[in-house]
Amino acid sequence: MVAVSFIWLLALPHQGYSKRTYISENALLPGSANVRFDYSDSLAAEAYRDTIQRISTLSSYERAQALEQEFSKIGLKAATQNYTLNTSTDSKRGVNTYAVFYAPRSDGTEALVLSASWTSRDQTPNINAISMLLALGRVFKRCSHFSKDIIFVVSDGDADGLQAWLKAYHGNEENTQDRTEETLRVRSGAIQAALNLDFSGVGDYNAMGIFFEGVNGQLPNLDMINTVAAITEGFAPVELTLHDELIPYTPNLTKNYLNSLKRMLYMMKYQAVGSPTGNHGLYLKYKIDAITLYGFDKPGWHSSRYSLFRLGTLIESTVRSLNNLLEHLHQSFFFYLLSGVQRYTSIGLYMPPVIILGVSFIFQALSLWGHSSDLPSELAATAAGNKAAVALPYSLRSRNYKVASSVLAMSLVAGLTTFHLLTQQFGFPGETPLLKFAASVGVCSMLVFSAVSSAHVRDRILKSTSLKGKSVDKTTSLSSSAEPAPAADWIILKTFILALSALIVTTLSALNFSLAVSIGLIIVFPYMTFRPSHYKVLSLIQIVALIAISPPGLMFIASWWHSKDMSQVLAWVLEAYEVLGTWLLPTICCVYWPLNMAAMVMVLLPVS
Amino acid sequence: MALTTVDSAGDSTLKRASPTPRSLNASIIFSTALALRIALFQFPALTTLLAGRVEISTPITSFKRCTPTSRPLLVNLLYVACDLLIGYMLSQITVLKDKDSAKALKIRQFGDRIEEPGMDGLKVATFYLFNPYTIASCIGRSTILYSNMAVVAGIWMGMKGNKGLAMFSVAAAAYLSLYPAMLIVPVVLLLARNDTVQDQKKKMALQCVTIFTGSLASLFLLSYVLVGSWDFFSSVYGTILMVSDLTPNLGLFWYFFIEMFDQFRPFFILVFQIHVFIFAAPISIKLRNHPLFVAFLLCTVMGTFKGYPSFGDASLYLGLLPLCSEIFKYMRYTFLIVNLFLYSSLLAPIFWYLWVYVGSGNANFFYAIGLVYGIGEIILMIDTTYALARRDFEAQSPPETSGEDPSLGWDREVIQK
Repeated sequence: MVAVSFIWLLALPHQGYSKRTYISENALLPGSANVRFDYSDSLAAEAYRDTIQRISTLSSYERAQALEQEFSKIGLKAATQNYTLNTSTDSKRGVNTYAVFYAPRSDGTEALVLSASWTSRDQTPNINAISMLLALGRVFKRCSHFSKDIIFVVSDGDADGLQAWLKAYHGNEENTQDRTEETLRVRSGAIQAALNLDFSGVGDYNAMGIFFEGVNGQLPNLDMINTVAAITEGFAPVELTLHDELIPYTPNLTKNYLNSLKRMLYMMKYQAVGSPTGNHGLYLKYKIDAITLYGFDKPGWHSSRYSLFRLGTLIESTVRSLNNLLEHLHQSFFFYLLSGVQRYTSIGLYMPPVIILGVSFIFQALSLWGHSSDLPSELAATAAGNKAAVALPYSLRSRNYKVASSVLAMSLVAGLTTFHLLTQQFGFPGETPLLKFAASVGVCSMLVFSAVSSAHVRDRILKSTSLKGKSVDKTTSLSSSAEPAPAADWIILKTFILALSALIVTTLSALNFSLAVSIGLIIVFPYMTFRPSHYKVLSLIQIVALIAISPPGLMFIASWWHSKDMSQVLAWVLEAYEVLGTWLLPTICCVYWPLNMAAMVMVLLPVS
Repeated sequence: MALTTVDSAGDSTLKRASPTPRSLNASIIFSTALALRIALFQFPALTTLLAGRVEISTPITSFKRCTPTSRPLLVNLLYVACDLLIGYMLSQITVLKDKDSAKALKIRQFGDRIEEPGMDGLKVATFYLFNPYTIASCIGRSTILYSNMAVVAGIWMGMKGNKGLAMFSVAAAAYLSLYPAMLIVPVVLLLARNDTVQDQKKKMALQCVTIFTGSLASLFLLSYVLVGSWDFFSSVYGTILMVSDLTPNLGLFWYFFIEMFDQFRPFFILVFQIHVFIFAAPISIKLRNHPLFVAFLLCTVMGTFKGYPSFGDASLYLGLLPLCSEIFKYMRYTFLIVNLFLYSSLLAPIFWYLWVYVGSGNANFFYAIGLVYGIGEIILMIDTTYALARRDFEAQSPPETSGEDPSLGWDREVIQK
């Protein structure tokens, strides 16, 4: 079953398993509007580019002020918003600028957002994107056919700026020691969809990437991507791709498959870690469909270059399409895997392998559950030809849950402790995340040691008492009345671990498919095959493997892979949790780690 | 008077086993339960989170919907005290049941051994007090707790043979949430379990019904005096019976009635409500020798099929289940049931999140989990009933062993066929 699930997962990127995307929402009508963005607007955009380039070197406050003035000059209602955010490692402050174009024909209940951040993905100033916003504002001001207000947001910082703006827009602004968000002075209606622009520098580009994975692996409605794809196909021809990888098309089947696989793995990686790949991810938290368009220049790539002119038409056309929406995007898919801009795999095809994986856990748990009953002895009796094997309505052997349940409870408590340790600030001098992490590793290893040693002691005591009991039995009665010994503790514990793993993998797959798959694939072999053994070497190998897949081990591997420091990886995970509220850290501390600890204890339990 | 009997019952348990460790254990368990609850109440975020969950508070049991009259600390303490009291009453019921079963038919088991006793009172109380559902509905301040307390008190008084208080408790439970009215049957069975003469039983039943009606009427009258009008009838029992508030919950009603045309509504409401009550008769007739089990089964039926079920109902019937712990080893689907409960309780909030917050899911997701939860409950009912019947069979027709080979005569599958 595991093999089936593996093969199925590997087959997913294959052409036969994915379908061509199609526009599902008829109201969108991509590319059918007459675009107003003309050559003079392109020139205006270039002029704005120089202005932005000049002010981008100023301080946060000053450049926000300057930008506000620029927006006001166009005739839009503009304002700024201050925010501060203190995390356990860092203190951030910044100023957002935003402006609203009130559509002449709307009642102001619906809005679209065009946003750009001051810094781009590649950490350079996002100049072209911001000048594009200004130029588009100028174009929209001339138009009378908008039925939704358009909000322009230029956010400061990484994700923190837009997050502060979105919180304040939805009336959730806070004013605490950790975070303050200024109340917005200019507002519009409910945001229906958003486009986030990321066009760094001042030059032209030869490709455009779409980033769409949001916080905790949320995805925007597929129609968002379809619309842009449809427009780039005909109206404003641009080389479109997923993320920032350009892979040449080959007619070779194997190569094609490998390329699809690579793209899908890329997407799954982004989805699994749960941090958004761009500012669009924050909109998804508020039920707003959004994507980031990222312009980049790949040297040596054959496609033609595009300048601000074509970019302007593309974005205006997209906004006009979204403007046509009668209600929230809901027609197309929310659960999908993309192996190309125009190839998707729907939930019906990618869920079965995860479910099969979960079911294989459950099946093994069930078989172990059977092992802890009378079943083995009955089978032995029938195998020996003893037809009069007794089929009782109940099990003679009693199951002993004490060790298993206490190990699980204790590891859960240890997991919660690590989570608490990592996220709380205690105010010690020299307190760093790495130190706290070391402390939590200490807590966990202590738990494993104490559980294993106490289980061994208990086993020894039980053995000695049962020996005594047997000697008494022999003198008083026949051995037939002796109760069969209950199944070993490790069998019960392993049953529980497997059942819980199945529970976690399957339930998590509804929330974040990629995370569920990665956890499932990591734990499937160790948890299913490992068991206590008499050979010290084998136990040692198992323990080493379990340590490797434990959170510290995985972190070590991740830091080695990205050739970064452990503390950097940790700080990144912590920041994602504190700023964006991703669930990677809670999931790992409260779900993954406890199971891992329980598995370690299981491997070290007495064999008996 | 009630207090003295409690003490004597408690004393007898103390005498039976070694006294100090037992009372020590009891105090440890009760104080841990107390400390856990008080500690959890210290997180206001958790309280509001749980109180807002549809799985825990329904329109009927939500604390938010009653006007808070007193200070929160006192309210919290009241909830904790009620929970602990239920635990205590459950342990006392077990003590009384053990006395009963001492007189009952002994079951011989494989190898000519006598059946081991079931769980003792303390274990039963522990199972109730540390059940996550119980803790969640206590911290979520679901008012189902008071109804649960009345139900358990009714069963306890029934076990003790205190007619007046038993009927009053059942009446109070019915007054609080209507459905427990059908528990009058198992409690009367409990009260009459030692009467052998048929006439006496009839007399007892008649008396009980009179007391029940009297106390219910006086409770209504009291609320009339307090409220000043009969409006509360329609707003309390009307909502329960007509299912007018269709906020989604783990039950089976809301999805069905959201989709329904108004002209069919009365008919289907009638059918659904009769469906809840109709089980009382066959269950009580067939299993009349096991009134405690009947009480458990009816509570499960209520918790499954009523209009506004919540985890608080689960905490009640899962608390009553260990009272019949001797049937556990005859159960066949324990693993499945535990898993179904686990999956549904984890997936319900997840699918709710996908539906309400993320918007990528829809109502079908959540309702599907409600169905899974319902299936879990139904399998629990079927399996426990099977286990009880099987144990009864074992008790009434013991295998004929010649004594030479203890395995002879135990192959009962043949007889079943």
